[in-house]
Amino acid sequence: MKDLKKIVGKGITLVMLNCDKATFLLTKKEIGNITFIEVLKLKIHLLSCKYCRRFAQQSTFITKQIYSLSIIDPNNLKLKLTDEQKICMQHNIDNQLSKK
Amino acid sequence: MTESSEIDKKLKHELNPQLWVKNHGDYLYNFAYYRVNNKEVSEDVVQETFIAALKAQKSFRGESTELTWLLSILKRKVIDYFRKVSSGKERTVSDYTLPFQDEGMFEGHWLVNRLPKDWSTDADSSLNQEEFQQILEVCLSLLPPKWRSVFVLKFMEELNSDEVCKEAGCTPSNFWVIIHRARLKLRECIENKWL
Repeated sequence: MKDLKKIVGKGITLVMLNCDKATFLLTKKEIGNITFIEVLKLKIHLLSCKYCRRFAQQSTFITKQIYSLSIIDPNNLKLKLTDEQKICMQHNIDNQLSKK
Repeated sequence: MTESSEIDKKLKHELNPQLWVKNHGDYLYNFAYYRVNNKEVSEDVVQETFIAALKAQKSFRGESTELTWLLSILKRKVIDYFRKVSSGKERTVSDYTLPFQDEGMFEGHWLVNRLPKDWSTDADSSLNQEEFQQILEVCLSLLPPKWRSVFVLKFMEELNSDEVCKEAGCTPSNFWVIIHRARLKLRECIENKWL
């Protein structure tokens, strides 16, 4: 009986993913490659787990936002160097130029 | 002079080191800041970029604009910074615990008190875009340095995983574990601050 339970359990884990594995595969799918079997397992899991579906949607959204955070619009710079900082940088450049 | 070489000459870009601070200082500063998340470090990176650029002036062929060329140097400096903060073992340690049950019948399933909540459509509306990005910025800064390095190199600089690991010092399997955990932590952090 115990053995049977073990076998069934093993069988289930072969087909079914838990949420930890599912979210891991979602990440792997987004930025790398996953196997056909993994795609299937993931699909089955997502069908029955609304929380992992949420995670998937939100994570994709976050990735897009991170990317857009990295694009700097020259006409809308959020931070400015202070005049002091600029003077200091200019001074260092002038110094370096006069060395030649 | 033939017609084509005249055009070549026109299209060639030139360097004006005297005007770098005035023309590109703020742009480079912003570019660095959104990657390293620290104003002081960003200032240093920009300064180092200018000095390195001065020394490398001869390698400028005029094929790209001055700003593009400076940016390529700045990017290298940013990567150097990540390489520096990522080295050292203690940097990989994080007190973050995974939001999954670690034993019992539901091992690996979401902990009941840490289930992803419904963000509904708020995230998409342009009204909240700015607010969302501010929170994202804060949450990115709360990641352990190594995780953040891996994240920025992957999702902002779009390096492939081998390149990321070369710079941030991770192994291929370690890379996936870091990205996985960082995404879980980041999502949870945003949710806690935003909803």
